[in-house]
Amino acid sequence: MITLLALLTVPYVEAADGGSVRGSVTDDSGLGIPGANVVISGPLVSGKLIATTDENGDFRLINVPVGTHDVEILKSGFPAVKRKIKVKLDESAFVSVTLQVAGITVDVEAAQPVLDTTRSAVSTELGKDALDQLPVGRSYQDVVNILPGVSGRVDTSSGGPSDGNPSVRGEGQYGNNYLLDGISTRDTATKTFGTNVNFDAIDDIQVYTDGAPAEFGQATGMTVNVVTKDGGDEHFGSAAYYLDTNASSGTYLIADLTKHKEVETKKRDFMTHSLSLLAGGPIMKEKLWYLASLDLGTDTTTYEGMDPDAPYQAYDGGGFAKLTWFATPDAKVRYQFNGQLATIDNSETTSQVLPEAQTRYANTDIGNQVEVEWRPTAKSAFDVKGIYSVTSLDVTPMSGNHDIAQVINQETGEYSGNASDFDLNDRSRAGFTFSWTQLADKALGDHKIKFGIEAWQLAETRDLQYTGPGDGLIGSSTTDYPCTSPDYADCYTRQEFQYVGPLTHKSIVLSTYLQDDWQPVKTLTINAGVRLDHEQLFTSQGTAILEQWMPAPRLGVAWDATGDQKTKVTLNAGQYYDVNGSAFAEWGDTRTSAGYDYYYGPYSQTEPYFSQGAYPLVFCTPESKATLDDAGQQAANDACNGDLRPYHLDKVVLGVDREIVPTFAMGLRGILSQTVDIPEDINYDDTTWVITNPDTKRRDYWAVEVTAEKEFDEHWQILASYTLSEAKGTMPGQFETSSGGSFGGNGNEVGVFGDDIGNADMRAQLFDAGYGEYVAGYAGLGSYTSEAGYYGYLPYQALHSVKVNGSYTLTTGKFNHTVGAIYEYSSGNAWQKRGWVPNYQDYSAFPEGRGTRFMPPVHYFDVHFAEAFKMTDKQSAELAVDVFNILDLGQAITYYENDDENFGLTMYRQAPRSIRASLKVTY
Amino acid sequence: MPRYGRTGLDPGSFSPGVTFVLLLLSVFGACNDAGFALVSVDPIYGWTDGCNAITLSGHGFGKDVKATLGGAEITGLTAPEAPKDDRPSEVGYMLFGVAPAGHHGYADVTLTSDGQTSTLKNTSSYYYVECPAAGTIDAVTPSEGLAGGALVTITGCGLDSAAITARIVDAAGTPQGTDLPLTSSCGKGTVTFEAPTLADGTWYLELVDVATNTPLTGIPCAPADTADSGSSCTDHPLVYGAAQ
Repeated sequence: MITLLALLTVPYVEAADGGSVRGSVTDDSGLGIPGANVVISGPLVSGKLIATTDENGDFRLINVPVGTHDVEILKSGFPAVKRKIKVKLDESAFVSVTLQVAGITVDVEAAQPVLDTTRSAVSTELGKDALDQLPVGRSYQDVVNILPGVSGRVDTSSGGPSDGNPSVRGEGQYGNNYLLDGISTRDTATKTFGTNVNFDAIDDIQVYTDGAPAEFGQATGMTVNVVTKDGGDEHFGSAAYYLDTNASSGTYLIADLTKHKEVETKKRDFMTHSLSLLAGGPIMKEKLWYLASLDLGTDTTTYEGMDPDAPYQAYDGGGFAKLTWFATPDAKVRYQFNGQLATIDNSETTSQVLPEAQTRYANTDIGNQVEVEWRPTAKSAFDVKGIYSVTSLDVTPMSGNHDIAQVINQETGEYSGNASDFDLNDRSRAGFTFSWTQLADKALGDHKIKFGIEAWQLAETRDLQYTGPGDGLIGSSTTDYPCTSPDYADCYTRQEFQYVGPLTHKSIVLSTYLQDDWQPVKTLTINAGVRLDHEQLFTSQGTAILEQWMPAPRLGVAWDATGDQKTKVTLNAGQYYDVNGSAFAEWGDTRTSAGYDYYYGPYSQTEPYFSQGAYPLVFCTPESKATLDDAGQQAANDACNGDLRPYHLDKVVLGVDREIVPTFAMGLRGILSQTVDIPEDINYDDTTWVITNPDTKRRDYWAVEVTAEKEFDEHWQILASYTLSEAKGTMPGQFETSSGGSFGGNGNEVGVFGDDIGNADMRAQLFDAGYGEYVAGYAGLGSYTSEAGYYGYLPYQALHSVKVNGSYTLTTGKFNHTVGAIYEYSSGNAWQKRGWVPNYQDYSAFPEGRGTRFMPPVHYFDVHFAEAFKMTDKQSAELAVDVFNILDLGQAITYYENDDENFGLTMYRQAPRSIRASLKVTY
Repeated sequence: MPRYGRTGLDPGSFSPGVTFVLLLLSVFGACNDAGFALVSVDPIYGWTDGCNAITLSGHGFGKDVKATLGGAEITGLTAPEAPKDDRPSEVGYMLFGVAPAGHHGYADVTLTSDGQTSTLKNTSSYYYVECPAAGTIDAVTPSEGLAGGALVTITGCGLDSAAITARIVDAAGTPQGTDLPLTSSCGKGTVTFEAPTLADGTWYLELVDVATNTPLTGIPCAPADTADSGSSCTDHPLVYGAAQ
């Protein structure tokens, strides 16, 4: 009968982006039972998954769908045994079954080990069902903030939890990689998250804060692997409405750029309405599944002091759809579409912008993904994915009139156009991935080998639109000092952006990886892997300008120290590079090609002091160094050694975890990392920038972390952590150049201004020629040749961090009563002081060492209350209320102070207390 | 070490138990320590005659401090006042002083605090710019709201109080009263004179060579003062009466 069953089963797997199951089948004497069939089935599995135990009674299954499934162990002469098993994303669930010689079929409720003793990486699974019990924001970017080592919430300045870009382990918001159903969606230009995903369509999230295996790509920060729900052989769905509003007055600051200061604190109130619909199930059972999700939302925000007739009004919508076709018993094809739209009317919320020149911001993310999976045997699987996604940004004047002067001139107080505020920007990602997973037994132990190749084109097209009166030049200009003469002789600084049409910069990435989870003995797993990426950058003219290799070995050891799956000792070491992406190609393009011309002239000289023309940014390669050598630019060679290297993070993690009681585990780990070879654009003599790797630019991080986790079991859960850490170094930048970003909107973009004129002789000449102020304007703080002020505590660094998240659900009759809570403590971010840099007209420099002081401690406390009524086994209605930041302490979380004597206001405080009410019907 | 460590909590808002826990956690914040270092000097350049105000920034500055520029002592070192609002205190992070005269070229900036020394060198240091032979006027303060008897300060370089005097002229260049002696308050970098009594209105300052009794020529004005061609700085207005 069992043989017949095996023949009839269809060995489908739902997703390559699933987990694994392993275990052992023994008799009551403890001896392994060979030849037993382990059958996994359930509504989330099309057909059945079957493994057969080996001569030791062990079995393994790969690519098992995420979720809870039925497991049945069948062996002639033994009664069948049924179990439930929970499979987590990227993890290997363990099941141990003892078959009784005599008896009847029994259901055994045995606690499944919560530790995966075959993995040395540090990751946390965030299941959607568990997240629904907590007061978290409704985005995958937000929920990761509850994890240890992640600091993102403290950067928010808006209501409720942040939905921005979190930072992990000192690597800033640009170091993360975001995967959607196993494929990267990272923004090709900004290196932040590339797309939103309807929250109710998410099934599971696995977040690697440390030690991500080679298959997950290159990322110096964390890897967030988001897997969406699939259809199934049973219909399911939900409809929900959410209302969010601030419960206390939020604030924002008004900047008066004519006085170089932020001057006023104004009230800010918001109200959002969201509708979320989800449906999934079979179109043809075990043949064709579907999933569809639709989100619609509006956000009305009022800013005190802004024009009430031009309110900030946002509309957003998200559509997600998936079709899964089980073409043959061995193969499936999946197509999914993700479309996210957002528009904001009157999106400018600063006093710099004239009311009549308000803007409409529009953002569109369209992603298409196709996957073909073939599983020829129970021990091997092949997977091919293709993706094409485009993010389009379009900022246009509300009036439709591009000639309206818009932005205030910081020097004169006059209003002028600003091309960068009316632009078109498309970022696209096209590529495919291939992977082959193979189980190999009895080759000095058991192996799970995965090999993959990937090819990507990351591109960005930008079209700066003209907004000012025409004079033959299409673009914008910034003029300092009178600069009224036709030959610019009275200019101090002048730059012109000549319109040259849309520019496209590309990065072509070819990658391969090989990894092996090798178990030489049952209690020891070696996670060995290596990843090799090759990236080539292309200018807008299609010229290849940089080629880099990124070999990244990763090695980990996981030891089941007590042999019972309850104690895990891990050591993980790896190297993680950062793929540059299209923006780095843009920086490496000569600025002439981008339409930039620069003129610098002294006050009363008849000729420009500096020659007209572009400032090239020279990637400091052997070829460019040879060019500099030929030109006799010894000064350039002081900065450029001809060896521009891709930057990378080297990390070592040592940890021990112990399942104290069933489903509750504690962990202790130490983490040490250093990020080196960080590129910087160095303006060494004021005529040429070279992009090189200054020795002074690096980041260092260490942490000691304690965690406690009670796995969600429909009733309660807890995830608590304490992290003692220190993150110091030079600031992570979007491109890892221009570390002194002039914006401070989220606390991550601040840094030390590094574009100083590094050549001492050149500086001396400028001082002696009367350009002291000019040099001072570039000075900022620190230098690529000196660590003073250049190296310091990172802005989101807090020495101590405590996070406690948990929920409890009590069932009485047909009602579920749920209370969830989050408490988060940070001992205070490193404080940044910014100074006024005339040449850059913004608060870019740091007259004090970065992070020499710390902000006050910050406390957050959020609660979630829900009442659910179960109409039937599968139908329920839930009413929930979340209160975020219930303490509402209004604590300063990011503070900048400018040299200007009148400046000194706190820029960002904790988000105000806010409330979210929701009604959700599930079937 | 001074630090910005205010908890921001109002203990009265919580129960004693919650207050205890929150305050206990808040204490963690007091463990951050960046140590002692001189990080920057502002401005990064000045005349060889010195006398200009400079600001030293860094962290871990103690009470017993001494600073030098090119080996010469920075005088008048003072710490900022304690903040009166919720701004972070600058005490311990900033010092104000007056640059000594120095030699043309780069000069190391050294700060000694409680026995520890930190130095800015090379391109992170200070640059002494040679003073033009004719001297330079960088600023005249106050230049508005003047009244007879007010002390007017001229800053710049090459301001030799023994060799030059101040002369107030009208728009046509006609002298108003006698020339005014200059008093040095800091070498050749800062001189003062007592404003004469004049009618409300706008008058102009000239510097006069005592030996030749003629206005100095060739004194370049402040760099930002682009309206001046560098002849005699007659565009330095002195506004008597209400500021205009």
